[in-house]
Parts: sequence; structure tokens; C-alpha cells
Amino acid sequence: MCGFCAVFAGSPHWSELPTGDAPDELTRQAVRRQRLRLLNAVVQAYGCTVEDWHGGQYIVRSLRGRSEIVSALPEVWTLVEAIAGQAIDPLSPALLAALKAIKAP
Amino acid sequence: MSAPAGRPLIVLTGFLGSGKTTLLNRWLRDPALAGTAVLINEFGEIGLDHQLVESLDDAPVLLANGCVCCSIRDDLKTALLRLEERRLAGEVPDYARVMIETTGAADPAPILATLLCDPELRHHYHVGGVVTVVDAVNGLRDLSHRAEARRQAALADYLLISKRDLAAAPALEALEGALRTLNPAATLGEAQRAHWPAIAARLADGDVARRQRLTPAESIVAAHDHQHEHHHGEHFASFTLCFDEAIDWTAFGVWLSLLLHVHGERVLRVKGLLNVPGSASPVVVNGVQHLVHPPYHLARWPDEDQRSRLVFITEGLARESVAASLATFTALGASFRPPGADSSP
Repeated sequence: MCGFCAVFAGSPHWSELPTGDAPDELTRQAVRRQRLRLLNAVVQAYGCTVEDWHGGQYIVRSLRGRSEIVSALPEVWTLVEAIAGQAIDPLSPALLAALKAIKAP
Repeated sequence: MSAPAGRPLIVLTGFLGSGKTTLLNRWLRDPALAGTAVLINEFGEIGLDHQLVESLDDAPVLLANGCVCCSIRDDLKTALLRLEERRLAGEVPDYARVMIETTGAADPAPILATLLCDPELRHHYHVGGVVTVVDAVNGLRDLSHRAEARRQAALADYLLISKRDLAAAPALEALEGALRTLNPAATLGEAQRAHWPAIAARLADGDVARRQRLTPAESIVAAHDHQHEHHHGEHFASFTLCFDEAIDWTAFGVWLSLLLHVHGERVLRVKGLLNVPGSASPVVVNGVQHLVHPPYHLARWPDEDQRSRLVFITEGLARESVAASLATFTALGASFRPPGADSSP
């Protein structure tokens, strides 16, 4: 548990398990930034943004100012769906079209 | 990624009357499976002559989302922890693995969920594999008429056909064909004694792939030319996706977590090998409905074909739709990848 913020650190989600044999901190942060960019590309269509929180959790914010801290991707999806009032279907042609329209950096 | 903690738990399942207990009795007499603790749902007519047999209450606890695959078997957790306590206290002999025999109508998914999700159990046990026994005489009928039988076959790592001597050759051939199309990622074998040693050797190691051997990969290789879609009634279909390009692991994780979040109840199984950037060996992906086993690297590719291959067994999801979605997510995710960053597990 983090002594400052009293947050329990659970096991990492399978998609965020340590990268490589001995990932250095810069690589870990770079991968995390990459994940956040993709997450934001998806959730922006649902009126939300996702930010990093202390390198291990996420802050999901809505356009109306609601914000919550969550620990892993399934919780991100659940919260964004609750805010948007609809499912985020990765098979939706509309969502896929929106993602394709995003220009690569 | 390091090897999983604790002892392997092997799930032995199969539809009613398929011959699970007969097979279990035979297995427990084999030296290859010495040191196996057994958990059973009920003491049936066929007694088990084994010193380490415990009974389960079969009382699943359904989680708030109401999905059967995410229900936690409290009885299983209690039994497994009690077993470990008794071992540490010296009340039972040390054991190398646990085998659980389910009831004939059981869905194995809650057992896997219990192991994968419980933080206490994760330190003591890991999923060593799902073995499904299929009756050569009634198997085809069960697969056609009973959703439980299809689920048991779909979740299997090993499919063992019993009572082969009682079935006519054409019927046996039809059953084998149905099983191969239903679950192309599973190893198909015979439950008869003659073919037991090879299977025993694999099971004695728990999930052999976790020990960096190639069993699941071999079966994936056998299945990867299986590009077209197979339907099994009630929108039940298996299909394989192959990708020539390496797949960005971070993007894949975002995509699969979202796919399973929304459609997990309809993704009975996803299993395969991924070619990820910056890695000379493939990553093994193994998911059951909403659950995904911790991914890991194989020691090496099983053959010269180093394409990513994913087998899906789904209810009502179209191959083209899943493929288009994965391609879109991974293309965008790869465009966000910082230069030189290897994001594989």
C-alpha cells in the first residue's frame, strides 16, 4: 500500500505486466505513454480522457468534470461506459472509422 | 516473464458419462502422476482408491457482473487453501499437483476464474491445463445438443476421446472432425491406456507451455492454416487469424482487454502466438471469456513460420469484424510506439 495516498497496489493487469526481462524506467514510462495515447484515442469519442496517475494507475475524466482514479484497463472501460451511458464496442464500425481517421504523429 | 508460482491445477472435465472417473483412476495408478492431490465434486459410483481425495461443495459465488465465467468457486478456494495448510502441517503427503474432477454438467470457466483472480490462491497454484474427456459414442450428440459439452470442449487444452472401441469408424471420424473444428487450439488424443504415457508426461509438468515447451504452440501450428470460419450451431464458431506483421503488444493488450470487456461472454476461447516487435520468441496468449492467463514468451518459435496466429472460439462474433478491429487498434497503437521501445511481456 502506498503510505502517502493509502492506495492498495494490486497485481498488475495481464496487459501491463513487466516489459522485457529487465525493463528500465524510461522504457516503462514510454510504453505507458503509448498506452495512454491509444486509450485517449478510443475514449475521446465517448467524452472522456485518461491520464497517468503515479505511473501505476489512471485518472479518467469526463468533459463535465467528473474524475476518478482506477487501477487497470477493465476499470477504465467500465468507468468510461458509465460516464458515456453506452458500451465501447471495439467491433463498432463507427469507432474503427474514428480511429482510422486519427493521424499518426 | 517468470514461471507461474505454485503447483499446477489440472482440470479434468467432460460431459455426463464420458468416463472421467475411469480415466482418473487409471491415471492415478500411473507413476508419471505420482504425487497428485485430487479434488472431486462428488463421490460417484466409481470409488477412487487414492490417499489424497477431497470433496467439494460445488457452491459457486456469482460476482456482481453476473457472468458465469467470472463466478468464484468459494468451495474450491477453501479446499485448495486447506490442502496447502495440511501439507505445511505435515498432515498430508507433499503433492506436486492438484487435479480437480468436475461434474459432468460443469462449466470449467469458474474454476479457472477462481485461480486466476484470487490473490491468495495465485501464490500457491496456477492453471496447469484443462483436460476434457469426450465419449466416442455419445460425444457428437452431446456437442450438438448440450451447451455445457461444447463449452467443456472449447475450453480444453487437451481433448481425450474415450470408449473409442465402442464407436464405428465413421462416427469416430466425424467426432474427431467436429472437435478439431470446434477447438483447433487443443491437442486431440485418445483416453485409452496405449496413448497415456505421452499425455501423462505432459500433464506431470503441469502446463507444459509454461515450462517453455511447445505443446500448445504445436497445436496452434497445426491449426493455423485453418483460416475459414467453422460454425457449430447457435452462432458458435472457431476461426484463426494470422498476421504477417509483428503485433504491437501494448496495442494488443488495450484491444483484447476491451474486446473481452464488452464481448467476453461470447469469446469462449482465444489462444495463440504473437510475433511482437523486439522479441526473437513468440508471446503465448491464452484467454477464457473475460479471463486472460498471464502471457509469457516461448523459448523459441516452434517452426520457421513466425507469423502471429490467434485462434478464436466465439458465439456470434464474425471473423471479419474481429480481424478488422484488431488490425485497426494495432496499426494506431504501433504509430504511437516510441522508437526502440520493446513492449512485449
